[in-house]
Amino acid sequence: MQKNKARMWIPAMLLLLSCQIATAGIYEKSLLKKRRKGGRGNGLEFFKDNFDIFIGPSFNMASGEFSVSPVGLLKSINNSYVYSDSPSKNLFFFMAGAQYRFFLNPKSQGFDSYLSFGAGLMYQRRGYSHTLQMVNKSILTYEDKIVLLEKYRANYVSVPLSVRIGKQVFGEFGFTADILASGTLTREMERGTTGDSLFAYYYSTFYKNEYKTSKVQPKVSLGYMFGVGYEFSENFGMRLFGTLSNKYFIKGPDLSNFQFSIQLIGTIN
Amino acid sequence: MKLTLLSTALVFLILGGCSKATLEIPDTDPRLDPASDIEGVLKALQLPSDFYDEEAPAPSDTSDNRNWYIVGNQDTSFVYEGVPVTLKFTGKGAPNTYQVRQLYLEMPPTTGHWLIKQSGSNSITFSIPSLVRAGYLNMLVSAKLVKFVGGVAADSFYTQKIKQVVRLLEPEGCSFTLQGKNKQGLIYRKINLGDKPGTLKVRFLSMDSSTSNKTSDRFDLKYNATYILSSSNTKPPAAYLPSCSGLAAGAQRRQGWKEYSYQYDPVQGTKAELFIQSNCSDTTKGTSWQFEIDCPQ
Repeated sequence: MQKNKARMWIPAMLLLLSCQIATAGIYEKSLLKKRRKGGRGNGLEFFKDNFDIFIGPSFNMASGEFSVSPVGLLKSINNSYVYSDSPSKNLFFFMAGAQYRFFLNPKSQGFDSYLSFGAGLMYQRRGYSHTLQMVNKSILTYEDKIVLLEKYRANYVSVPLSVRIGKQVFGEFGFTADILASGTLTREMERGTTGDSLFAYYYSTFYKNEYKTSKVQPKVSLGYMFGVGYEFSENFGMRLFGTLSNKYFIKGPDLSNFQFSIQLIGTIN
Repeated sequence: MKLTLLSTALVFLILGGCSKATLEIPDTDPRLDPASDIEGVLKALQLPSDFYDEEAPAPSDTSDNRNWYIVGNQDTSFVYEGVPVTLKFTGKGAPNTYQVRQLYLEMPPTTGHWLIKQSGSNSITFSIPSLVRAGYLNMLVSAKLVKFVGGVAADSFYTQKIKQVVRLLEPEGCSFTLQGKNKQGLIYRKINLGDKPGTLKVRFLSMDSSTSNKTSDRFDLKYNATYILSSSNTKPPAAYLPSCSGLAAGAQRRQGWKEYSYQYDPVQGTKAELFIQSNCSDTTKGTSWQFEIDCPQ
């Protein structure tokens, strides 16, 4: 528990820092504007900030070992079921968000003119689908099959804090504070019989239940982000963007999540 | 302008992320919970019967003094997953010409039921698969009594639904001690040996009141469909079924403690079964035994 509390500090600090960056940028700009109006010099040409809106489809990959293998957990000693499970499926979602970005020194001739810092908000969805199958073939020509499907979906509001290097062609990296908005785990059990036998019984049943997962998930977790992109004009660009996180549940399957997205970026200067 | 856009996006994202109220999951164990997944547990039961997604037949009218009913031989049964449990019933009040021909097994409030066809035994035998986690299964059982005349059903009567509780037990942890004295019987435990491979150590003490050096207590530990440890000198075949009907062989040969060990690898599963035949030999009067097991190390 202590460990989880300690982990919470990192994304919380990121959140605070990103707010500070945005506030500092906006405050600095307003100061420069005031100076210009007051005729006390004009520093505004040394200041540049942007507001980016981005959206795009994403490809989600959950990977890693379940800390307790469902098959290991369910494998019984004296029933006639044969167990098998499938790895998590890759899923398509989408990402969208906005960020405030300011340049450190846009008019400089040096490397710092290529640097900009961003902070914003971003929506991302994560999840996995996992299938566990139990087949009873104790009668040769008859089969009783149970398929248990677990579908996990979570919505996150992430606060990315990034450094961008470049102008028309750029690369960026940073951290994200991932705030859990909602998470659901759906379990579906489908059971049915096939084949024929003198001793066989026939049925086909289905069961579904949906659970909220907020109690078993960290409210805020730390993630990583990186991207490469190209600006076609001052107001429009594209980027290949990725996020990585390694904590799904407070206690449970030890899974990590990688998601990459091809995004369109609209920029307001 | 930029700040307004940013705050609008924040409100939109938070509202968009909210979902409808659903059951809060207590942990990430994928097994069905008998307290919250009642319908799933009922549908997952293993029994040679037909399942129907509808309510069992309503009880018949008893206003014509046909107050016939069934009683369970016990109200609560204890069972481990995968081990068959039998619920037995006795019919009361009905004339001999009426026989129990069908039993209905339900788990309220869900509406489905299992229909168990009977031919005289008045019992339901089923297993709870490992897909279900430990807990209480609250069941309702009712019966259809049928009067046969010349081999044809002439009349039928549906009894009231009676409550039967099945408590599904969690396997024992991998470190525990059991002991017994004089009492005759077969003791069964399911054990979870855990995820760590290593040497599994078992110690068994057997003392007999007889003057000879022989004892009358036997233990057998089964894992991955074979007996891995036994007090018997010869390894029991996989088909061996321990019981307490006159132990002829396999008791620990010498009085006192003896240690047994096995190289355990959880790849083959984590569950084992322990059978102790306590004082099951007909030739002795009193025994005292103790069984100790430690987690694989």
